[in-house]
Amino acid sequence: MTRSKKIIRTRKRRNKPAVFRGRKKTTRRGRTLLHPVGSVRKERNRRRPVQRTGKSEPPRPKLDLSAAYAAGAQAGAESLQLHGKINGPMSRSHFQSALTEWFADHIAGNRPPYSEALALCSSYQKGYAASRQENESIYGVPLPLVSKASAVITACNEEDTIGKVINELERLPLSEIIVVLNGCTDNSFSKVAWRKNIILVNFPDRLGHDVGRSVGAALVTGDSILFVDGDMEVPAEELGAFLYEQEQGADVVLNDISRYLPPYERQDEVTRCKLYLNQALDRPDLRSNSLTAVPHVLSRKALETVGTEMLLVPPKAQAIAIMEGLAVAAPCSADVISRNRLRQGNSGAGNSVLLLILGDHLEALNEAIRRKGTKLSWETASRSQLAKVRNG
Amino acid sequence: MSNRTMTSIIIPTYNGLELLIKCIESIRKYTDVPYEIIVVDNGSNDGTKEYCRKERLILISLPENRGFPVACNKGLAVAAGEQLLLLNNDCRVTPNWLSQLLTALNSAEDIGAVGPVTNYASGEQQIAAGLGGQDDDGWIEFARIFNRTDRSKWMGVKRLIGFCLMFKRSVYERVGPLDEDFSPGHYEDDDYCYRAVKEGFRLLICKDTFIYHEGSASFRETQPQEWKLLIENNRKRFMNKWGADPRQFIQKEESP
Repeated sequence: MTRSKKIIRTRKRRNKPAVFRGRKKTTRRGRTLLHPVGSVRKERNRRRPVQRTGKSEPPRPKLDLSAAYAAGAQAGAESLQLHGKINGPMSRSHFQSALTEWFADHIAGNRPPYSEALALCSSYQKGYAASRQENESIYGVPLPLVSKASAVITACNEEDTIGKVINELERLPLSEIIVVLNGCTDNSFSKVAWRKNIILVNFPDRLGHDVGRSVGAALVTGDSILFVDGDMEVPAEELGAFLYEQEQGADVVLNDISRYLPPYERQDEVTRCKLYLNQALDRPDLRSNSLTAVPHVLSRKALETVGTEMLLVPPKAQAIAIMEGLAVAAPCSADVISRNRLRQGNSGAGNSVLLLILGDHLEALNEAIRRKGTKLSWETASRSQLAKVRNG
Repeated sequence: MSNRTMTSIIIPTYNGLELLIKCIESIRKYTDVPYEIIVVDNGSNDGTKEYCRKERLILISLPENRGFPVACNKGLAVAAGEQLLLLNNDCRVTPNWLSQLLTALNSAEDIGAVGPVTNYASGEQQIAAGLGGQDDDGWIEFARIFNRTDRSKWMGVKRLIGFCLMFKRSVYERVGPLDEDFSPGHYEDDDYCYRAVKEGFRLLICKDTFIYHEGSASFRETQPQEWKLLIENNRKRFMNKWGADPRQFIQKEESP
């Protein structure tokens, strides 16, 4: 992977009009897309790889929390014999493997929704810790992850929050945490540098979140990658859901922000753009959910299919993921809207971040048109079909 | 597309701040073509991280020592240059070093990798005896006169040593990263060269370009037994992988 593209890209981004220069042309194209007059949606089987769990499914058996506790207690007693009383890496890795193994046996191929899984595993954890006479919180969030998960944090001047963000990530059973600092002139560096078990990447110049994530993605070794920003402290329990859903079979786990958005008429251009892109790719079910937002998780397969460099333009990466047939879903949500700090450059009409994201969406649509033709997922209806629709 | 002219200089390091500083300073002093420096710190606790931040170097800091191949691969993964150059932290570069190496690397399409000669190496990259006994500044002065581009001094080989190894991005794209099975190190450079040659690339020793190599070889000196064992194991690993003895490639090769 090359970072130079990113550098060029960053430069482009700094004076985003460069990307936007294609505006006329793209808008001209876009106009035909934006108002697909006389067109109807193609009906086809939409890819919905990840079921929205807990809805319209047969009622699940009641959670047996006491059985979970008992199983945990037994594993805790074994661990006491094996590793002694001292809580170290050995006992922690024992907990993780015991939990994962027990969970797989217990659910027997019938994965419960995340909230239930978390309740079960918490009981297991309580039992485990009780046997070892420990406070269960030392084991963090009991997440029954089978595969290796990495996390990538990007940050530029986030000395107040970066430590808290890492604290939350350290409560998850991650195999590695990569912090990509860029252009920091505050104490972010020293807030990270003292910590153990962190891969710290420091770029003297500002790269932006997209480039930072792409750099982080080039370094990860995990089977899945959780992306978060250094300015936003999301509780580990909420982040765990994204990793859980990835193991459910999703290649791209987006943050479902729908519930935090105002009604359509009061939404901003960016939100509408995101919605439009998903509709254009025949995935209206994804609504305004987008790779531009964090947290999100990518599988190794997604990373390899899309390519780390494509993460420079997240909507394009998303479009490619959908068109390549990857399982893209938005099954869980973390409130990043009210947690998002307003700052110069990301608020107000015509702000630079807005222009950048709009430009990215144009690139995404351009890629989609290149691959699927100008009609994308829509088709033009014949006059008779149209008449039918109009006359109800 | 990566930056057409830039060279990414990747320097893995472990608790060698003194050496690293000299290395960085020499690069800044004697490099007259575009470059970026990426320091990959293998878990040092001697202030390497802080130095890199202060000096505005691109830094990848690993939580513990994961060995040379892993460190190189991390650096390669984020490198933006069209040329990728692995450099040991105990090297000091010399006037015109990089432009001369670039001249050789870009002299033909099928040349994949180049390396300089030095005062401390094995095989053909060690320059003729009789010049020894100088201090490092003396060697730099020596290089100031020695470093004159001369195609007749380029020598086609089957193996280059990793103390200062520059290759094209096209090689990286075709050959991939270093084989981390050779961790903590030794023969991963032989392996890489072998793979590059297999892909049809030619390798050159630039006998017109000298850089200074202190050759601290800490591991070799502090734990000679373990060092010997490592060398032997990785040599076997190479032979098992390729069915060839890496030592045969150290011998003299034909001129280009």
